[in-house]
Order: sequence, then structure tokens, then C-alpha cells
Amino acid sequence: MGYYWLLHDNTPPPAGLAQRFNPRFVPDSSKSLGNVRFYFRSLIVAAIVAITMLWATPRLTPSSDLLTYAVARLQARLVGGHYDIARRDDTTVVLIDDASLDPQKGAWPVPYRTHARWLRNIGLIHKPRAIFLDITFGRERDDPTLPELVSSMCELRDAGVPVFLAALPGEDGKLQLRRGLDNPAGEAPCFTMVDVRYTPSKVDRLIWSYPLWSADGGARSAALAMAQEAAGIAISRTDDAMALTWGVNNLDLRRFTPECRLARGGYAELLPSHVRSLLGDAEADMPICPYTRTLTLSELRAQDADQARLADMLSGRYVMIGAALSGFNDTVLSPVHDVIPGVFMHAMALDNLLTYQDRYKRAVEWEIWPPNILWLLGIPVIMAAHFLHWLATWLTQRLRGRHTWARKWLVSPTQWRFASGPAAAPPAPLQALGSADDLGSRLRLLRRAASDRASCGWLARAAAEKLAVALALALRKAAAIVLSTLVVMYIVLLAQEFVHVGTLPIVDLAVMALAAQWLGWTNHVTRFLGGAPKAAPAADSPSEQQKANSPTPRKE
Amino acid sequence: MTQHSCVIAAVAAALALSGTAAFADQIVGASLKPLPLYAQPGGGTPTAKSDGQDLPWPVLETREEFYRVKVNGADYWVDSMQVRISRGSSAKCGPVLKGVPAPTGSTAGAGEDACR
Repeated sequence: MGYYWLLHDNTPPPAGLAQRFNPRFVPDSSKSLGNVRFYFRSLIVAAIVAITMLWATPRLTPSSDLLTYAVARLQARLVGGHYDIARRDDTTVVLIDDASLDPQKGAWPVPYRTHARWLRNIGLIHKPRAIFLDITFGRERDDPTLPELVSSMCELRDAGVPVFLAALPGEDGKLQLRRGLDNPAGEAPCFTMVDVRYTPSKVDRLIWSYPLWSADGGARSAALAMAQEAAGIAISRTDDAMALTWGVNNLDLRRFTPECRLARGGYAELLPSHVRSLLGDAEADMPICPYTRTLTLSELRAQDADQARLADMLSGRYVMIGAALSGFNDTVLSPVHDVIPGVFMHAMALDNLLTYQDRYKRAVEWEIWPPNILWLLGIPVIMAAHFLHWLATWLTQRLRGRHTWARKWLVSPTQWRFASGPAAAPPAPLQALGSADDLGSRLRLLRRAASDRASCGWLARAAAEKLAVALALALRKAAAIVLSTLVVMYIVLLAQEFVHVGTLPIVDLAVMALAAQWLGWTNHVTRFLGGAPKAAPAADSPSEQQKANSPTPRKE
Repeated sequence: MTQHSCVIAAVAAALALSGTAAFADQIVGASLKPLPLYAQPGGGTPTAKSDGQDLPWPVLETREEFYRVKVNGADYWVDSMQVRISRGSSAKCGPVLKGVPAPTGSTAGAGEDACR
């Protein structure tokens, strides 16, 4: 009979088999159980191991960064779900899309006159707080309407609507636009040039950070210039870029495209898409729609205009105009929203500055001697990862010492005893096979064992038991990884409320600290350097086990 | 005579109605005051301005996001973003875009009017 007997209830095993079926309670000497000195030693080792891994693994195996970035993407969704929504509606993105161009005979680039018209209409009719035009007028083209663009921006200046123009640096490192697109001499500038360069991650090409000042010429980025000049936020200059926090909560917005979904963010977003599909989310495979409110230029036409909506979205807002045109690759990859038009990156950066002001999240990185702020956040994360591992081990041992169900269930799968299997003596043909010396006799005995039903049954049961143990070990490890990751992610989330550092470096360290625990390296190194922990508590001694295994009298 | 008058009046009314139907859209308000009036569609320097006292103006023609209207007996063009029309607006409630343009391995060429 191919049955297995696991002690998972109080039913006594069949007489005569009780001794065989009882699980063993062998203390796991590899655990830092109950040994405070060992615990603190291993904590120091955990920090050293994690930081060494942080430094060494990307150099030895560059693909290891992918794990960090995968966890960081999940963390970004968690953080984005808790991002303060208070300033979200202060910014509006206006997109020049293909439909907006159709009445212009679908031509791109449109004449400067058309840009002037768009700027004038948005600025003079709706009176936004500021306008950023995310179109770089760097190359010269034959268009006599260029002066109209300059005069429209001067009109907006006179109307109290500052205009920020996207620009790129020239050979001298200073921002520049094409000839003829200059501020008029002898009067206040009609527009401000802003830098629109960014650097995606080298590992996953996602936008994790946003430069505020360019490293070469000190030019200000679009979001920074708007925050300083239009919002009046005092932001002190640093060399660090801003770690971009991508907001998620857009449930009350119009859907951006049919291929994206609205979301609230938080822990639900950490579930894999196929799990969310199983839970009934028909849109689980879609990326999350952008966070910022959006209009297209065509919605400003009389036949499409909803005046109340336009007033709500444009008047007194920071308006960012960008393009989303077929064939133009002005898109960025957000860790939360997937592929979106590039102007949303500037909008999100401005939102971050409006929300955090001068305490924006710094995109610091681990260096040979990292910034102090990383130590401040990194050490608690390592302690948390280490403590979680120690706590789980300690709790398991305590429960096993106190509760019958824990003694039955909280044992390592490698210590499981089955009703029949390897513990039972193998049938005679298999025993003979084990003791055979030469190849010929082994082959002969193997044929004999193969034709013996008892031997085949014993082997099948043994294989099934091994498989069950392997499966249980894998599940246990996966559960430990998932649970510890979730807890550490939540700790990082809480820590981010108080420390102005981006997600990525902390997640980087947390993943290394957790990996050191998952792989058992911390305890191995601690034992190597300082010896094994002291003997386990008395509950693990055979006499205690016997006591613990005996039924406890219950008081009624 | 009376019968003839009625027929003439009915025909005139029908013609008037058909004319109104042809210019169903009317400009009923200006978002920008004074409202610039242009000689050509597309914008540029306004040739005149109106404070919109004699609104509504029937829309005679639509081209390049501009409406042709008759103001004080002269033809002008007004910017569709600067006026309100009588037809109920058809504000979009669906998705903002049909989709984010997919990345391409090409450089988009300029349109026909790029170097005008």
C-alpha cells in the first residue's frame, strides 16, 4: 500500500509503529537560537556580508542587479500607493497627439505660429500658473513665423504667466535654442530655458532619478525651474539628483489609454498579475495609467471643450505641454507606469518638489564610503532582515517546546517520517544490490529488483517521499523569502517617511541582507569566525522532548 | 391674395430654416476679449478685434481649427480655441489617448508644411 502517515493530529499511530512515526526533534545547531552573544556577533557579520555583497555581486555577476531592481519595482508601487496625493491636481499635462495635428494637415513639426497660438490660447484664456513647453527648438528650419512665437511668450510674460522652454546644451555646455529664438534685449526675459536631459538606469532603463542641476553647466531642469520660479519653493543646490517617487493613486482620473488601468497602489499591487487575474482583476496585465491629469490639445477646441473641466485643469495650474506622436520616441520607462510620454517624467518630478519641497528624496548611491544618510537607513534595514530571520527561528523553537501541534508541524521537512519508506528496511533484492561488488552482479541484481514488486513499490515510495520533502523545502524557503521581503519592504516604506533618500539604494542593501540570510551565509561566516552558538535550551534535550511528547493533562 | 401670401410666407420660412440648418453652428461667446479676428485661417497677426457685442455669429466655414464668420459685413476667421459655439460640446469622457505611440526604429520625416 502506497500510503504515508504524517503525524498531523492527535490520533495515535497504529500499535507497533508509534516509535517509527514520531518526528524527531533534533535541535538545529545552525540556528542562532537563544544565544544572545551569537546573535549580536551574527548581526555584525550580517552587516559586513550584506555590504560586501552589495559591492561585489554587481561586479562578479552583473545580472544580480536585476533581482534588486525587480524588488525595487515592487517597492516603487508600494511607495507610490502611499505617496501624498494633495498636490497631484496642481499639475496638468497637455499632450499634442496625432488627433490634435489632424486639422493641421497632420504636419510635424508644426509652424512656430501654431506653437504660438497654442501657448497664447492656454496662457491668456486659462491663466495657468506657469507653462512648460517640452519641445526643443534647437534646430533651425525655414519658418518666417518664428517672431510670433517669441511675441506670444512675451505676451504671456506680460499677463503674468511664466513660460519655460525645453533646451539642450550646446558645445559650450550652456543651454541654447535656435538662432532667432532669443529673449528681446533690454527687457525682462519672456521665457526661461530649462534642461530636459535625464539618465535612465543602466540596468533596466527605468527612470529612478531626475536631475535637478546638470553636472556640466549647472543648468536647471524643467521641474526645478518651475518649482523655484513659479511655485516659489526654496531648494538648495546639491550634487545629488532627485530620486523620483512615482505616484500611483489615480482612481478618480480619466483613463489615459485603453491599454492602461487605474489603480490605488499599495500591497495589492505587489501581487503578480496572474494572481490578480485569478482574483478577478480583468485588467491585471495592464500597466498603471499615469499619475498626472491629462488633456489633449484637441480638447481645447470649441466643439470639444468642456469649459468647466478646462478651467479646473488649467486655471492656476502648472501646465506641461508635451508630444505623444506616432514615430517620435519621446517616451520614458517608469517603474510603475511602463512606457509613457516623456513629459510625464517632468510632471512627476514637479509633483515631488511641490510635495517634499527641499526635503525631496535624494538619489544617493552606495560608494566605497557611502553617505551618512545611507548608513542611517541601511543599518536598521540590515538589523530588521537579521532580526526577522532570528525571530522566525526563535519562535519556531519556542512553539515546538510548548505546543503539540507545533511539534508536529514546525519541524524541518528533512526530519519528516513517513509511514513507510526509507526508514523501513528495503526488500531483500535491494539490500543485496547495495552490497554487490562487481558490475556484472550489480546488473543481475538490478534486473531481479526491477522484476520484484516489493522492491519497485519501496523505490516508488522512497522517491515520492523525497519529492514531497523537496517540495516542502522549496515552499518553505519561498514563503520565508516572500514574507521577509514584504516585512522589509514595509520597513523601508516607513523609513522613507522620515529620511529623504530614494528607494533604490535601500532596497539594494535590503535585498543583499535578505539574500545573505536566505543563503545562510551570515550564520556560516559567524560560525567560522566565532564558533557555533551554545547548546540549545533544555527543551531540546531528549528528556525534555520525551516530556513534551507525552500528552499534557488538560484541566477541565 | 391671402392664400398667396401664406404660401410665400411658408416658402420663405422653409428657406430661412434650411439656411439656418446649413449654418447650424453659431459662435455664441468669446473666451478671449477682445476677440482677435484674422484674415486667414491659421492665426498670425489679427487684422481686427471684436468685443463680441453682435454675437451670435453663424459659422460659415471651418478650416484648420478656425471658423469663418461675417462680422460687420466683412469675412474674418476666428480661432476655435478662443470661442464657444452653440452646439453642445462633446467633451471626451473616454480615454485621453488611443494609446501611447509605440517606440519605433525610425526617424519621423517632416510634414508637408514643415518648411513653409
